[in-house]
Amino acid sequence: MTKERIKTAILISLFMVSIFLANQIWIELPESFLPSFADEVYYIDSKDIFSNIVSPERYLINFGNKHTVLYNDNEHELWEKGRSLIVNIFKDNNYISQIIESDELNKYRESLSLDYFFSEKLHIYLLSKTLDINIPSSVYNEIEQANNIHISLGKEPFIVFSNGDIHLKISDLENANKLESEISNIRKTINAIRKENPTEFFAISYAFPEIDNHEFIPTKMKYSLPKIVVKSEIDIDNKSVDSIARNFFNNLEYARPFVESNGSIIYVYNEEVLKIYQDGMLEYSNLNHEPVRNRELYKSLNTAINFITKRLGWPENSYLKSIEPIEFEDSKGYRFRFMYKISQAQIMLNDDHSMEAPIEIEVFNDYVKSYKRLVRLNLIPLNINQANDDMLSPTQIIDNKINYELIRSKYIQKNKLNEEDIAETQIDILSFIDNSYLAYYKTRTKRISSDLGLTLIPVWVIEIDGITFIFDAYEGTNLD
Amino acid sequence: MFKKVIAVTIVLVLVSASGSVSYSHIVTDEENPISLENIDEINVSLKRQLEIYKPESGRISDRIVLLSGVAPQGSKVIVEVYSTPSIFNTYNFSLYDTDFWNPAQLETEENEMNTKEYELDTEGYELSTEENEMNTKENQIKEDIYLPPVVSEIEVGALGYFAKELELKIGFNKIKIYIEGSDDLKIIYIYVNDPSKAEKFIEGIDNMGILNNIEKVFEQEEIESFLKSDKIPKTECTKDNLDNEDVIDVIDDIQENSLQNDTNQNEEEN
Repeated sequence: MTKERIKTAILISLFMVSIFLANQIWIELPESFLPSFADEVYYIDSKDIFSNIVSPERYLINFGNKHTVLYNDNEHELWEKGRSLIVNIFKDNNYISQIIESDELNKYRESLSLDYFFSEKLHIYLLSKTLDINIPSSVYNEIEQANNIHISLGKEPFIVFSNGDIHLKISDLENANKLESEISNIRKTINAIRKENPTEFFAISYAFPEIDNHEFIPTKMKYSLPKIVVKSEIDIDNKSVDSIARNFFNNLEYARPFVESNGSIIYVYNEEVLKIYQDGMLEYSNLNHEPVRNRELYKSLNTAINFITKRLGWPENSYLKSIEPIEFEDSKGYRFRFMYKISQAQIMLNDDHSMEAPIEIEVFNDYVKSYKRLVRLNLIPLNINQANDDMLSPTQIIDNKINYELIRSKYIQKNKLNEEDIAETQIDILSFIDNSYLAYYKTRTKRISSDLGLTLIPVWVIEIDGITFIFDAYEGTNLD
Repeated sequence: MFKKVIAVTIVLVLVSASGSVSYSHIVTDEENPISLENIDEINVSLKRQLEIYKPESGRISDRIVLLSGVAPQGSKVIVEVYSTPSIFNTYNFSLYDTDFWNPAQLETEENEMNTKEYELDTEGYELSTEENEMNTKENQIKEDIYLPPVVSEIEVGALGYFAKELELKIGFNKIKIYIEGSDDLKIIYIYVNDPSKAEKFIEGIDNMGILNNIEKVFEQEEIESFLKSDKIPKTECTKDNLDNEDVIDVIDDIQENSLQNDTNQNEEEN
């Protein structure tokens, strides 16, 4: 009897082993099912990187009833200084929060203060992670998302979280003395900025009280951006492509590259594909995944940032541009887009790859499905004074009769209005300006086919009633 | 039979346990589409009169203000800034010099002046009384006249709205704004505080924000009573009346006094 049992046991174990080994060769089981034989995925101390990437797109500086907007925090480190102040406000949990009205927030902007504007409304939990603070649930109940943090620099410190409709003021009056040194530090920076004679911005509603639009636009530009020559960070003719591939695949032995007819190089390993195009664009995709039913924002974003940090990293002045929930088969995840800037201008991609931002990544919690990247960097260090003529401001551009007519007709088209009804009247375009910013644009005419690189020209991107317009920053002509 | 039941139950439990609810954190906004019903709110009359929103008459601490308003498309708006020479004691000052003073320069030169004045005070009482007499005379003269105006033009484009920075002089300013070829005239009165004299300025960086705030907006009654009083000049120095003898006398007096000031200071230095 026992002999039979032993035989049965051995038979079963051999059978199991053979199945197991067959799996090893033919199928990859999810990691949770088997002990992992791959390298442990390690995270760099990513708190600093996270805070640098999930950072504001623009900084509104209020000197009182004068204002300026900076699109780049390289020089003055306003984000870092503001963060340390906010950390101290939330440190001892001794603050008061209250909802305030838009009028009150607009009034606060007429005193010495600073506003951070993020590219998108961020969930409060994400903000708490990037600010490195603990935000209690009472705040979540009042305001779920915010794209604007207002920091008062007066005698009584307070901050306001705002998403344009709801504004939550958080004040810590008891700690005013302790916070004074932090605030004084920021004030000194603001004073230094003021002495540089920055471009004046004004709130549309301040200059034209009959228009209910609190966006800030400049009067006259006091700086000019030059044309620049850029080159892709990846040189496909170089041997460096191999070292790039090594960041994606542990062992290049199994992932040999082959070259397509159009010059792109492709590496394939199981379900992972890495493609590098002639123009320096990188595309990685990984179709191997287990279904993800609950998308988790912070986890996905953290995964994305870590992934990118280890694979070519971040160009200077990178930040999170947009968050888009996506679905793929039975999984739910996010597409994150990251933008970077050269001086005060964002780098637009009007390329053939149908990418909306230089770095795009699709993440499902821990797993990265797709990673696209086309980063072009400045060949020559930029000096703003190199530019010759004065750049136009958005108002000067819209004021032009041809541009005004174009905007008007597109507005009528979008809102399906009757041309006859409004033929005699003027549309208050100023009330529909959502946003305006500088960007570098690949010019379609005059392509420089030299080996040096690609020429980019500065443009104003103006969003009016959800329609995006692109104008040459010097000529004011529409480029679309 | 029983085993089958158990097996089926186990399978059912396993299947139902694997289901889960998912939710997304991000809520997308839905913009309100504009319907034909609120066209009237959107439409604005094409024919606008000249209207000035900013600056408002009042007292401020910053020389540079935002000038904003509406005007008919394609029109030309003329802005004339008349100011009184209230600080010519401090500078070598030419009536026809319409450049603005650099605030940074203002600080350093004012500091230099203050030290010289101190020397003046301690070194000779007689001299300072003479100086005082001169100063009062100057005060009388300088309040009597507006300098030739700084004129700028704004070409109003398709928007119909215009906004630009306007530089004023320290002291009393009278701003005239009109459309070229039209009688429609807007006048704004603004008094710019001399920042070096403001106590707040001395307190330093912390109050920097206050420096830029509008301190007081004049009410209509205040403007009217102000206009009737002796406090503001009556004569404007324009191209037309520069030949006027009275005006020439005043200008000569001012220039003479400012030159004498310089010689006195030079003597003191030596």
